Amino acid sequence: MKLNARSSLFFLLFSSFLLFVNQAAALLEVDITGGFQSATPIAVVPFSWSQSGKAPVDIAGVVSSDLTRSGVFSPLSVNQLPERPQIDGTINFPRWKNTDAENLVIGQIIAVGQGRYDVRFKMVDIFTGKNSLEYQYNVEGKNLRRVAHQISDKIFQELTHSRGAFDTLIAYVVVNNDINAKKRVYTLAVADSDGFNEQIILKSRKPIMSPSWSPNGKRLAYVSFEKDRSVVYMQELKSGKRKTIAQFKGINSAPVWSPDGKRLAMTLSKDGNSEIYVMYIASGVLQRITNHYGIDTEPSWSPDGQSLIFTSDRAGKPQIYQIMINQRGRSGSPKRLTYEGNYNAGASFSPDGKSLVFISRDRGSFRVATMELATRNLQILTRSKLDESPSFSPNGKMILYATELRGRGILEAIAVDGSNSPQRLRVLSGDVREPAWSPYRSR
Amino acid sequence: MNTILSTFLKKKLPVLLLAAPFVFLTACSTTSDDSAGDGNNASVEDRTGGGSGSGDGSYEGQTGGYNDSGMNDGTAVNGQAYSGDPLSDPNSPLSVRTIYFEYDSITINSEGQLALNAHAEYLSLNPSKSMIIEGHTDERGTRDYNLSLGERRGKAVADFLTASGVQAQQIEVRSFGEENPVALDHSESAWQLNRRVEILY
Repeated sequence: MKLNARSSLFFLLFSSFLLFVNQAAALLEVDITGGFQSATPIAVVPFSWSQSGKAPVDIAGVVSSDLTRSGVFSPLSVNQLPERPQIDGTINFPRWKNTDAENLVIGQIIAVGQGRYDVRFKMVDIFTGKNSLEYQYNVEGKNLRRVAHQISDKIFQELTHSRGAFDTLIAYVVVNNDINAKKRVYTLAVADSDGFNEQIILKSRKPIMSPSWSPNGKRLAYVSFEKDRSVVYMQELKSGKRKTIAQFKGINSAPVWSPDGKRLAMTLSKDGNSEIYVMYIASGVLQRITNHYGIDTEPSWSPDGQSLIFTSDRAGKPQIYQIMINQRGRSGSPKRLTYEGNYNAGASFSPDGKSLVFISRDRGSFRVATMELATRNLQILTRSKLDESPSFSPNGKMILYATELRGRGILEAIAVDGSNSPQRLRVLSGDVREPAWSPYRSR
Repeated sequence: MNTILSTFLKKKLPVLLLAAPFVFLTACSTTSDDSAGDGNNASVEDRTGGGSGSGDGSYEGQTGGYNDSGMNDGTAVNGQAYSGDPLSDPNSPLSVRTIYFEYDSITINSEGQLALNAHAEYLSLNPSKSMIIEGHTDERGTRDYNLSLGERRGKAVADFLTASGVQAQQIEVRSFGEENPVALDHSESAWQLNRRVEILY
């Protein structure tokens, strides 16, 4: 055990390396492609604003694009709106009944001084005339977009009876893929689920991989090659404090937090070749989980914390296996889960623990696949060629993954039932990869 | 040293005859610089943002840069006109620093074996020299599996070298998986170039 004591014993403060982020917004661009035949029409009226000019944030616009991205709703366009009622004004219901919408969202933003705003909204059932939702918020200007995402979550929950995942974050890696490796710059960043409010977590000339969220959403574990080899780090988002978790001889990779937040599963090759280990974060105690001359990597916890799934080529080609875990480490032997095809790798669980998502080779292409554990039925969801790093949204409705489009690395999100065309998130220049959807945010 | 030499005399006499003159001279050269830069060369930023100042530009160069100070010149023999460090002789098999692989394979082809034989001899007879072996893969498949596959390629090369008499402590295997491509296209020709092991002195 040759953990670098100097860096593992205390947190390093990197605040002196603060970079001024001059174009915080929209490094990631969301691009909604294709149609959503089954999407439900809804009317979201532009929110009224207490002052002249434009409101600091077009809340109705943010809500509309959230709902559109979900693939579940199709908001009416602004010119399809028969009127723009005020939140306390009268609504001409007969005119609304002539639209396709069944629900109407109305709201207002009032500047209350000192940079704060009151936001109110309600959702009205067009056929009964009753309010189904009514909420108000008092926030600083910088939180107006977050209020919009919370409104989207409320609407989504009310109409689908599933929790919305709009008020969440995504982590990802951007690289300007210069042909000269020395000119490449890798950026680990975190943004709102719609790509706005990007914050840079780490910038390096060397590759960055495998960001993984702590269950409370406050930390990321990731792999950085800044020392010219793979090292696992853990970083607190708010303070930027960082700790070296694993820098053993060989590979240190694929960190994933246990659901209780106390352990990290990861891949280390310190004992000869890639094996799965579990580390207790507080003590640094390591438990070796696998022991095979084949490659064992890409661990992922079941939501109940009772097992790990991982990729292994112990049978010749990469396939998904599962092993039971208890406080003392592994219990029992690994059980193979996938048999279809000759390449299944990079699996993770759905939040309800009933399905897996992973990458499967399908006629020479590497595509996103899901498998229900009860039936072992494998379903290919995408038609792209070079998909990577798939994971479920925290509400289990969408799958986010990286892929390649016309030579560029982009992110795509697709409904788990494959019902919509993928929506795309791209960067203005360079490639984006390694997406990781945050857990629900604490309020 | 003598046991290594006797192994080689039995196994690889013909190549050794060519290599021997400069090998004996360089064997007594100074120690190599095998330290990997340990400085922090990435900047971490506050999630709250809005700070000022620059954390940029603090990157360090690549490791593996080889230092030829203290090397003796070789002696020209048998019509080989090159005089200098054998590592920088463009006509030496030691100039081959990249070994290519087939898809999902760790098999070293004959071309690769030829180059590795030369490197094995160089390292065997220069026990103070060390080498970093970097394993790389193409972009197909998952990143972490490829990181392990890159290491497996690097280990295949390391095993070849140690089987040829190189001491394990002279070699360090590192994997970059698919993270450091030399060709950026998403095509078979790019993938061929990216499935490789790089040798760094």
